[in-house]
Amino acid sequence: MRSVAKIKDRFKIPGLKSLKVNSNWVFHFDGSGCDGCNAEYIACLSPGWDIERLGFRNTGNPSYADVLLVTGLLDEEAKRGLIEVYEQTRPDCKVVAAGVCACTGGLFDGSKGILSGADSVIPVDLYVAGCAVRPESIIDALMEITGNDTNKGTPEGEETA
Amino acid sequence: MIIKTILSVLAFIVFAPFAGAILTGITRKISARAQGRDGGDITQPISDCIALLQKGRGENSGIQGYYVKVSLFFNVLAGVLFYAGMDLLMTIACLGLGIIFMVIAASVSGTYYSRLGADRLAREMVAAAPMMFMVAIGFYVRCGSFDVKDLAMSGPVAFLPLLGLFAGYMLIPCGKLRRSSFEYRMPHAMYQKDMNSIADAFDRKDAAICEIGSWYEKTVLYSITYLFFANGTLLMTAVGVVCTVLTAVLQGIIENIEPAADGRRAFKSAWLWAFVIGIVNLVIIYIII
Repeated sequence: MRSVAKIKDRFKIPGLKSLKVNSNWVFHFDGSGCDGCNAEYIACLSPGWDIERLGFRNTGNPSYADVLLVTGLLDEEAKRGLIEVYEQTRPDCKVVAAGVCACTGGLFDGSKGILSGADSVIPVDLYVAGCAVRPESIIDALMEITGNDTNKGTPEGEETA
Repeated sequence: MIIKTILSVLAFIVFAPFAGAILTGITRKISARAQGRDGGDITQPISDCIALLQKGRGENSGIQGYYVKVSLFFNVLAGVLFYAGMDLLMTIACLGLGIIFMVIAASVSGTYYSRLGADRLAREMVAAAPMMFMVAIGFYVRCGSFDVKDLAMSGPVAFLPLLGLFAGYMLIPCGKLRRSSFEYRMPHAMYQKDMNSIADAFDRKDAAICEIGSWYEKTVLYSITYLFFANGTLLMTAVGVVCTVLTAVLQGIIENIEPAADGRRAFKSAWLWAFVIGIVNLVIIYIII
């Protein structure tokens, strides 16, 4: 292995880690609530917004994720799930709370069994406001947090708010 | 001759993953266009795999990592045997071993979805096996040899005489069975967000190796497709390459316009095709030639 490192240094071959690739993996966690923000995130995958063209990819395994996207209300049941998921993510995985329920608890803040947003359970890096949060806002947040500067315009047939 | 063989084997080892990844990218693009989306670039699978490798090894690597690497080894070995011009049956057997080790890896990794994926992959292999061997027998009856170098360089073009076997080979092992909610290895469709199937409980690096293994396997499968058109001349080489890429595109379209076959139906149709159309095809060419 040492000789491989020497050859890499000698010929200035870039390592795998220094390669810049446009691939961001998103793990979506939805708590409870009206399911509106969940539906808006699903809309991001649909033909109208299509985040795949920007290099985003859904994953069902938290350990692969670059971004943990939290939507919906968090109660005690969801808290356990969220902690379990967060513990499986990598240390540099970013957390985005999308929708007012995930940000602060929204209208239901202070209700019995309802927590005041995702940041009362895990550290949150970016908050996205909206009830329900718009797909454009989610895409903006994902691009902001991952440093993704792909600009491919708007897909055909996109509905603007 | 030996140098040519070594060069072609080295070229396979280096370029096959890229070829497989680009074919996967094309399939993803077709899939996206069929759903009315733009989809990612055709090099996106490579980016995804590099991104996974960059994330390094996680904490949940277990014995499955060993089986995944063995599976990769057999997939590479299948291609090496193929591009060294050796026995086609050995190539098919190595591909089968690669799948068996992937089934074991998914079975021991311990999650529900990975076991489900392993179960499906095992059934898929059993469904596809007769057709794979039937294709090899067809080549033998047509060209009088199992050696890939004879089939690729000097044999007569086998596409028209083996049309029934070609259709079976296209639709059965590569096409319809792979499309399901519990897709083979890692799903590429965006809506399959919660199910990672076989790679569900794999470590990041193991998942990337699994993906690279699938690219090698894909390249070998399409190389066998190329054999249907090859006879060693430059013209047929070009025709073969174009037809192979067209076949890959056609498979992508079929996967998107046809619903997934469930295990029992897939098994029945695959065996029926292999033993009825396959044997009829073999008998016809045996009588004619």
